Amino acid sequence: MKRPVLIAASLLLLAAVSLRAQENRSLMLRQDFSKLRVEEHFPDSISAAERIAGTIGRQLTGHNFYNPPTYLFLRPAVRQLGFAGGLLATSDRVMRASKIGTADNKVPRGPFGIEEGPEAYLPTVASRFGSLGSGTGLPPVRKGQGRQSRPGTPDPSTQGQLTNPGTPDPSTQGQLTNPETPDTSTQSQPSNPGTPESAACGKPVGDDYDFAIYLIDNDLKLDALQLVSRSCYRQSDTLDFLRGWAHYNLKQLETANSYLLAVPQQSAFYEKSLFYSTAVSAHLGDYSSPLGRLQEYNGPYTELRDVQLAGLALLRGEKGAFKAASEGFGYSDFALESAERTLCDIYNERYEKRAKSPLLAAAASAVIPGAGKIYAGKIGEGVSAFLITGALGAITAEHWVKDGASNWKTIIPGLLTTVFYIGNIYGGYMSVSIYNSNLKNAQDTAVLYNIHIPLRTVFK
Amino acid sequence: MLRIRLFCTISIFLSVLYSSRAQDWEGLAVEYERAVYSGASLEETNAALLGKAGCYKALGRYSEASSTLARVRMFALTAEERQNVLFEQELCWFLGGDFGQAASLVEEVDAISQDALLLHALVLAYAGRYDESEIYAARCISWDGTCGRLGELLKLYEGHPRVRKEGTALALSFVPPLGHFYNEAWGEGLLSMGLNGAAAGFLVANLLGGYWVTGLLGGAVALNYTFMGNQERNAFLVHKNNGNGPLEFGERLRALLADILSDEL
Repeated sequence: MKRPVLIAASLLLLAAVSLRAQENRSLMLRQDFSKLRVEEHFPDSISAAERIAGTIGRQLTGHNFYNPPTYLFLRPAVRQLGFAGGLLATSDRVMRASKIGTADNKVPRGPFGIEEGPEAYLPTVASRFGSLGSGTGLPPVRKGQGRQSRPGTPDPSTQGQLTNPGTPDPSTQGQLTNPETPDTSTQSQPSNPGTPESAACGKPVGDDYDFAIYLIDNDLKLDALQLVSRSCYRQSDTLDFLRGWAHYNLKQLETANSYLLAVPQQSAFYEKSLFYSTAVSAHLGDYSSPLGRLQEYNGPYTELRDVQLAGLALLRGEKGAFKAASEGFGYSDFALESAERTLCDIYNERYEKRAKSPLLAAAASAVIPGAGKIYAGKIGEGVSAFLITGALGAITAEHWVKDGASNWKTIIPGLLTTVFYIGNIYGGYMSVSIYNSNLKNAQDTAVLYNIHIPLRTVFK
Repeated sequence: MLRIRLFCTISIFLSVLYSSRAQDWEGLAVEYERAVYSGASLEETNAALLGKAGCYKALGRYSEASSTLARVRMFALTAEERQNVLFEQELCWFLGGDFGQAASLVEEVDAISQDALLLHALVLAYAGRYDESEIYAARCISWDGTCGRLGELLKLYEGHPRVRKEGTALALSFVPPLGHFYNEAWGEGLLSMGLNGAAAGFLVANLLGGYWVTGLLGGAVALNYTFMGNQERNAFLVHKNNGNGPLEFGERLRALLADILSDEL
């Protein structure tokens, strides 16, 4: 750059710096910090009775064990589960919402307590995660994975669970399309859904490939996305791959998948794109659409293909497909051996072990309050249920003996005892249902992990 | 000489901004990063990182701006340039709401300008270090030698929130309303006292009436809930007050300083 230009630019900088000083002062004096305040969760749209109950409840427990808190639980529970279901679920919640009840709860506590609504009592949804014993040998269950992630409903929390794929190996980069040579795809290739622009202006993205990878590897993923989203690059397989890779690293799985799927078979990036897109599809809950592409594949990574096919079969619940795919397991490849063994273990655990029975839990709770919950592995909840139901029963019995059955002093604790006793049976039944559902979630999570993480080693 | 080179390099990058897509801060940040990646000289690398931090700052991504400034190779800067970078870093931590990190830089940034004094005063106030903040704030408003509203400022600092101790709150909460009163939760204190009294009354009345099971299982359990809940509540209130107190004081201080400084202008 010539000296006059530099001088002019320097003057420009001077002006910018003096403007910036004013801006700094303004920022210092006007920045909004209200988000940093410690707030208490007291929704505006609650009734006066709920507000009073909440105010008293806080004096009894100090803080909320669950969110929504128990005093706000009855109304939505009745709405979602019906009158009887809502009442029983609320009584179960009352028994669980205590120090003893949450003592063995491994679910991380949010700022307003453990996130759990009445939907936790719906048999098809399990949101009381993290309750499994440590003996399963599975990775920890996390909310949003497994059954809650289904096609078309990508869950941000699921996206957050993905593991960074790590640093691409130079050997992978060696397979790159030479920036000087045209890419395998043509400019006329249609752009992906969601492609910002695919104008035919000429610069090949290969020139910036190393820079884009540098940005991703140095945790400057937003910069990488900004770079590859530009419209000035020529449409190519490298561009599709880089866009997919940038979105994948930002956990934007749906967009990543659309780009990775667009990488053509002739491309040097095809295999990496194929296997990563399969893992991404599975994370998004789509266990079927990758099948065709995987079955057609006949390249050097057939064992990896079999691992992914077996994993997808487990996720779909197809025993036969799993057996067929697992015949290709060699148990000798360093990168895949662990995944192969884990998938077989999950298969055995799922199909050859007997699941816990919710009816047995209900029966146990009917005999000894809380026993069903202990059977489900919830010892704290079981003890809490036993103490509360037992205490109410004992109070009722005392009044019955001293005041007679028809005295209001007997009727009131008697009614409470009945509600809590039935609630305890209901809670025991639900706890085992949820346990079984959580177990399946944990297994699905482990399958997703094992069809995804080996890719980091294979494509290193 | 170094400063001139740095100056010129920044100018080149700024010209990129004005000659290409104006206000495209994200795109410009990538270009700055490209300059770092392409193995530019130390001066150019530093200039690029400063430019990139500026882009993030313009975008309101203050923590990223701070992280970028942390990558600046300080040893290649003059003392004055280093001070400017540290000031920007402290400012970005502050704007990003990380007052602890910002306060850790107060000792390193020389208070040689009114802006630096203002920043230190605010950072330390939000970090709950009121005495140190007061000195910087007083120096800030007396920068041009006049200090007409110093009394107003000192009065504000006299009423700064006190840091409450959890241990004290828990000890006081053995007598139910006292812990709440320590936290200035007057209404809640009375409610807690009422609940504890009711539970204790239920316990005693039932025991005196011969209802031992009801008294012990009902009254004692209820008393346990009200008493332990009162302690838990006080621990939370301490946390809440200690978190919100500096924020509320900081807001008042900013309003006063903005008023005083605008008067000066």
